[in-house]
Amino acid sequence: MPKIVIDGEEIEAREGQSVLQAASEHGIDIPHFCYHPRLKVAGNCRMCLVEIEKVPKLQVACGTPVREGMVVSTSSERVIKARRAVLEFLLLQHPLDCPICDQCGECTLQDYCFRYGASRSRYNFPKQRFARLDIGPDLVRDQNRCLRCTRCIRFLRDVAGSEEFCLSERGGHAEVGPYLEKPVTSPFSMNLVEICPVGALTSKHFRFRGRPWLLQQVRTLCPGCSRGCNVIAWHDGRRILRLTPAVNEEVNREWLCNPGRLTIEREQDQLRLEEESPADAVGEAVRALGTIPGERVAVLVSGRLGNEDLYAVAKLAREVLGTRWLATVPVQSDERPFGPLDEPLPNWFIRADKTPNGRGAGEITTAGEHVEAAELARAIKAGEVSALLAFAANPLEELAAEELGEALGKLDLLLAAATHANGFTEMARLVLPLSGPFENEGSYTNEAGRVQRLRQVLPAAGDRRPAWQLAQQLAVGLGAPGWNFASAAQVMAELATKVDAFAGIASDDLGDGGVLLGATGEQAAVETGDSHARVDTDDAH
Amino acid sequence: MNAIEKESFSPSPETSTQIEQLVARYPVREAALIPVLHLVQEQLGWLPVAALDWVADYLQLPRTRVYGVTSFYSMFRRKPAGRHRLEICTNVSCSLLGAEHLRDYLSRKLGIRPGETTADGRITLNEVECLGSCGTAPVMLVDDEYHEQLTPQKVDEILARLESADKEQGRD
Amino acid sequence: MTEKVITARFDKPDSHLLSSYVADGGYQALRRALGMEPAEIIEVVKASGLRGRGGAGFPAGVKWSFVPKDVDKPVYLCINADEGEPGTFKDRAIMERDPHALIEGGIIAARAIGAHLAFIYVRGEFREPIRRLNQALAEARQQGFLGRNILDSGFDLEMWVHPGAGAYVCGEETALIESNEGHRGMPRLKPPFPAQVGLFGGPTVVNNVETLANVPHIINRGAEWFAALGCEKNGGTKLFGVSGHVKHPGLYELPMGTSLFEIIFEHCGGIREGHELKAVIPGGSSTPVLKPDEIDVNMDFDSLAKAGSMLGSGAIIVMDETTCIPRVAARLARFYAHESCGQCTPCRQGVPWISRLLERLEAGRGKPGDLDLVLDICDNIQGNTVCPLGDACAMPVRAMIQKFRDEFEQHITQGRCRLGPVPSPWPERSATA
Repeated sequence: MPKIVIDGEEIEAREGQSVLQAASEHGIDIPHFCYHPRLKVAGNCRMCLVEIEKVPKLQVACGTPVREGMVVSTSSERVIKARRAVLEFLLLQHPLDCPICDQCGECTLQDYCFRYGASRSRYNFPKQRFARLDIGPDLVRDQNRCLRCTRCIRFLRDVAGSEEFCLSERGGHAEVGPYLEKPVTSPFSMNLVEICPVGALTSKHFRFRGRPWLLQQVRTLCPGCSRGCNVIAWHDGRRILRLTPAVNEEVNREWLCNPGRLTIEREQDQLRLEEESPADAVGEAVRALGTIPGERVAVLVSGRLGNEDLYAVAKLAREVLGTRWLATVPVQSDERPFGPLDEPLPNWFIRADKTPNGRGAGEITTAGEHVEAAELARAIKAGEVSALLAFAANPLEELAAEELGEALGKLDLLLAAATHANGFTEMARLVLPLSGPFENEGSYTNEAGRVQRLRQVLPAAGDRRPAWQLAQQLAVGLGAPGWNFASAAQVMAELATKVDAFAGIASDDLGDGGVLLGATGEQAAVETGDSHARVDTDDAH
Repeated sequence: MNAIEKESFSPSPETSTQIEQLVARYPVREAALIPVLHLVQEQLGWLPVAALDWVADYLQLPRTRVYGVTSFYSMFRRKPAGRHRLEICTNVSCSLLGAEHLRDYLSRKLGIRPGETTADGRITLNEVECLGSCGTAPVMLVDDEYHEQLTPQKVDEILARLESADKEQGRD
Repeated sequence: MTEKVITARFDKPDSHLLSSYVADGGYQALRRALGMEPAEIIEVVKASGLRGRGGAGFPAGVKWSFVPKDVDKPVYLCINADEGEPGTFKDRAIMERDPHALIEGGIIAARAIGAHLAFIYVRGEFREPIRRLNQALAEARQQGFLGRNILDSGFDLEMWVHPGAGAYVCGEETALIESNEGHRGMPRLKPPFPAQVGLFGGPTVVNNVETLANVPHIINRGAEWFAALGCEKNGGTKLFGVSGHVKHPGLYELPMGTSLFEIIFEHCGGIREGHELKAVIPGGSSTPVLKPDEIDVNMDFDSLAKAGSMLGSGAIIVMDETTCIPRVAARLARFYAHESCGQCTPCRQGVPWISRLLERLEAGRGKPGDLDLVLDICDNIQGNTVCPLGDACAMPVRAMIQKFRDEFEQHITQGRCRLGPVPSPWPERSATA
């Protein structure tokens, strides 16, 4: 463990580290643009130049391996002058776009200019201007702002496994991009929005929609697939404007795929159900269920529901209705490995199961009386059930059974609890709107068995409610005792005692990293630190 | 940056053979990229995107890799040039011995500025950097051949030779 | 009269052919070297005092000794024939007129470092040198000097020409390696150094053409002989390429340490008729300029370093009083701006800035403060870049401003060059079209 001295402070570094990495681990911030802990070292921005005793030239901290006894200064006069020089050089051609640039407020260049730079430019020639290139529906490229740090190139090539960007031309004319005007195809391309330290690559979906310092941030989960990537949802009190990745080394490192980011569009779009139909649909459901023998009621769930929702619905089915016809829609299985998360990330990062809690649905349904989905479909067609309650599931599309629609049409009761309108909600007699993944407190279990905390970003509007609440309303309406859950956490508390796999799990203990199912005793702490997206000049967040 | 061009490229048999021999020399296939680009440029006279794409596919490289490399090096022409290329050095040693005057002389005679091609497509004039012939300055490349110790008279002779060569080939 | 080593065969007819080379004793050194241990070869070259002739002047034998002995990756030799430093034209002469000397030197070097594959990276514009090298390599292969089991020694080596494509920066060793690998010629961070991680990830030595052309002679005639040809710590002869306003520009092989004054006024016949010396660039465009009172300096690495300049490639550019120094400075800055690879901030942004400032100044539109600004930019570039190209712009520009400051100032205050427009060598032609 080499000991080095940085600005007079002795720190213990690790063998093979760079000066920058060692400093960073000890809370010493050496400014940099091109360095990124998850990308290969480039050493081209020259912002991290430091002075090393006995070495005549300044050295880039990112590319200098630590050596026992090294004495480093990050604040000598030479270093300060070099930093200011690098900033001046970068600003020569950089447009003063801050007022119209999406990166404003989370821009490394801006932050460093405040911290280290001169405020006057000595450049009085016309600035270089590059042509606009449309690079697809997700990203905006503004080459005028580009620092040529090559982070985007390295990310696409080494992490996303898709060498779609290159440096072209040379010298002052060097530019970065796809060279030809063509859309970027990698489903991980939107990570470039965070990877790019300035506003050269920004999100088309978020363009001009909000200033980050005016938005609230909530850490929650992406509902796009069974990986369960950790995200930050940014909202203005009324709408979620964007998702950015939150760090979870065991799940998604620091990345979030394009479809994942765009789940907020689907979850906030016009097709969402808001009102019960008819009004007092719960009352009607209770009345209808009162006339149907419980064992003839089928209950269908899916991985769209959180663990708490699934438990409450299963409890309703088994304990209140006393039916064996409880099934979850089949999960799209994925032969590709879930991990390890070594770069590059091929498409197995995005899982085939497009529901966030397929694992939870499996664990909870199989923990007690249940049937396979195919069996449920058969029973419906054979006339062995009289009612179907579908919670966040569309039997017409997800039970993969032919002519199921006709059979369903003959049932006495169809109840659809859903977030969005679909073919089933249209044919169902009773439609109850569910709150969506960004409106619920609760948890999902990802494909690898990690139970992670789902946090409410914005409260649900209208009649929307979580499925566990709806199940409770139905149970209470049907006269069942012992239903008094006041929160998702309370549901989880009971779930943990009733489903072996969830033993020991408690909502408040999930933290940011989540907890693996079936784990007894201590689990290794999951790294969930700050993303490398920007430098915080203040610790307000 | 160009809109995507639609032509496709295939190498002549001779170029193909040369490319194969070339690639065999390197322990890593992609190392042959620059000499292969030279060969393709020799066949076509320049390097359209279709040719770059062919090279990328042949060497099993991402296309952006080939675009990035091609655009780095000044000898690779991504636009067609005239039938003849005059490339005159105006770096220090040549400049000390009148290179700019010769450049301007050529410019006036041809009616074009450096970087341009004559309207009839015959001659492209370019300024280039040091050609490594400073002891016999001023120096110019004429279709990649060195012409040294230039004078306006020699330049006239060169232009005359090019013209008569073109006439002979019946291209005038 | 200096003994000619490198240029001895240049004026012979067909000097580039194998038959001529062998007739003059060629490939004897190779035979001898194949009978030596690699470590022995390295020691001889070290003792000779041969320093890299590409510009850096690093002792060749020492560079070879950096290659690790036990390594599981192949070792490579890259011969730097990218000759692009303005003013330099020596390697071209060697390749055109005595290519086998280079080849033989390269084979010996490869043997010393344990390389079995060597590339001669020749700048793309050098068509004739490339043609002659390819011809010579084919001859050498045919005679068994290249290929498997060279001269029954058990040593295998293949050597190929690899063309550049017009990028001065590829003369820098790590950029050359990148280019040889089929990439953009962008220099790498050091460490690791090429001797540890170079071409295709293997230990690599990059040597200049002239450096290697000396090696057969050193093997044949000994380290002491070579050392004695030059001066202390600077063994051998040097090819000085003189250009500009001398009576007899050209290539001159002279002992290391020959006085610059002697080169210009004796060997080159002095300044052209009717003119006076104003300035000399001693070692290629990247080296700080010398004034007439500074040319009483020995042309070796150490003496020139002491004098605040550099031997570099030994390319001597002589300027007489008709030369506008700000114009030269502007032209040099423009060259470096063209050739910057664009990778790192100070060079990519700073060099074109210097170029524009100097262009504007030379055109008579400079502003007060421009000079100090240029000097500050030079300070901000130098030492802060990935490779020495940034320094190669900063140092000569700084030196020109420092030593000819009044000429620069005059451009600003008077708004024009006091020398007037650049005189044409062919005044009778300038009026006609």
